[in-house]
Amino acid sequence: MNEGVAYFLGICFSGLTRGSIYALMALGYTLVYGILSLINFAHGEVYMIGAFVGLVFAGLGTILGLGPVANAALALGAAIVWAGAYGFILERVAYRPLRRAPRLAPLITAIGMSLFLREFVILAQTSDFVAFPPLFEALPSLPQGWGEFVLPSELLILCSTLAVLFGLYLLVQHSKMGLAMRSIAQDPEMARLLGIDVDKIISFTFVLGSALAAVGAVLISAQIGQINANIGFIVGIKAFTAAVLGGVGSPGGAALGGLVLGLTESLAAGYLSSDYEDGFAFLVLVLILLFRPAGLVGKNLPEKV
Amino acid sequence: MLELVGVKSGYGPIEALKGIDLQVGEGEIVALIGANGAGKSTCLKTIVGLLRPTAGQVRFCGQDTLGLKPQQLVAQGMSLVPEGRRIFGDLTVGENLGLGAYLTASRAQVQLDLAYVFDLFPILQERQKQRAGTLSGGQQQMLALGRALMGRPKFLLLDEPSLGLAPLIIKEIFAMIQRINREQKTTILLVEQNAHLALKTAQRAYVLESGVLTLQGLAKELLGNKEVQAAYLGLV
Repeated sequence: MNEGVAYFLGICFSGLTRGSIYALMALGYTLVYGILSLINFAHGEVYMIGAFVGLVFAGLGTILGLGPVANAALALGAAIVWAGAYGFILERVAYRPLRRAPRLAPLITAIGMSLFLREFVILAQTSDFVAFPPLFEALPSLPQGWGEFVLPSELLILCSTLAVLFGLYLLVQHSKMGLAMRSIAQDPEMARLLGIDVDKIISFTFVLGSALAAVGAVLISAQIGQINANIGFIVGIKAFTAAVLGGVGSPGGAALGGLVLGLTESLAAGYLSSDYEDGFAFLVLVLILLFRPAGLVGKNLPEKV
Repeated sequence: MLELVGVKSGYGPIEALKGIDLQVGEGEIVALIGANGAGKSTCLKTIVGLLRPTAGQVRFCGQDTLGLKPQQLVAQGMSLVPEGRRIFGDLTVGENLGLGAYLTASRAQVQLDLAYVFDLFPILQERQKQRAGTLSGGQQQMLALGRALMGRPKFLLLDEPSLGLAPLIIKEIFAMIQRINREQKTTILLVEQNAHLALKTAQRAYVLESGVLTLQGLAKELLGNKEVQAAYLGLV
């Protein structure tokens, strides 16, 4: 294969891998926004906690001598449950008491929770980078030629993300729970009048978003190999950018926005300079806000922050 | 079925209902008429649990409803078709009806209820896959009624079902309201600004003025009442 083509494909695959994580995270923002018109700024911290829980349980699995698949499943499962519990409690503690408060109030508690959770992990764990156990070592190698531009772990992350996105699509569009979520997004009072327990559905949405964040966190941490307490912040901001890029409130838009943002970053880093990688992500945000504030697939402007 | 005893209710410091007593018996259609701002919608919101009465008691099937949430009252057989219809415009007609059956566990039951709603309003079956927001006003009102019926309510509360609709459509919808009452034995509390229409449809009626019930009686008698004629029927 031509070297230039292989380089280009390599950049695309690493961009899509990174974009997968943004997509999973952006869905958490967008699902909550769709229902509550609230940006959950502590979402990045739930991701970070998911990564730490994955690390702890993957380490535990290694000590217990679990096989690579069982170990990955343990880390992933524990992170999902743990992060889901954090999402549930977060909503109860920081947002539910403020359901009828002015819009600024939950925004402030969101930022407060974000800072609190980060400092909490720094105090309880460490502020240093810690090595994440390699969960992808046992993956079979790819056929001849593929290895020039894509890693097995990248393909695994991409395929897992697509599978999760498909599952989420089925849940939102074709299940009773999804129907209830969509009805609350439009008119929560009417939803209550039809017998829907709105608080329960809101809790479910937070748990779901947190679980998606945990999946992304464990996958990408195993790929990168190290985590610290600050990883949630930058990923959170980028995923928020992805959600805005796609049109906040729209799950399809969030997935698309995540992949587009990952590709943009990767292409900018690969062909211009990796120093400007983050700069390009936010340049995209500024351009979208200037020229297409409703996002790629969004239809109406968000009225609340 | 429903009994209000000295109910006061409102929004914060504003008292929209100043102590009202009202009964709706099983199988009845009772109309609540009154001018704009008389407290009719407040009364309905208080009954379904969206507002808490500040004094007095709301009893549904003999039980005090204080502290029950709307979804619990729906589970007990209450269903409100709110003013302005409040259909979910971005969802399809079928999805809107599906939401009405949210608390119905049995799929077979849902199919039966759906068949009944489609029998009442055949247009909804034709438009099943269409976005509800694209329906005409009359069709949206039919959808709102159909959605409420999907929950098999014992007690149906209708808030201004004639609002903004053409006379022919109103006639059709009110005929269906009477048919639902007759066939399903559904008790109905009908809130209307269109007093003539409401009194023609209901068996009994209450007149609400500035948060106080000023008149009550058989609908036929109220139609002939001089005060009602002057104030609400445009006859002098």
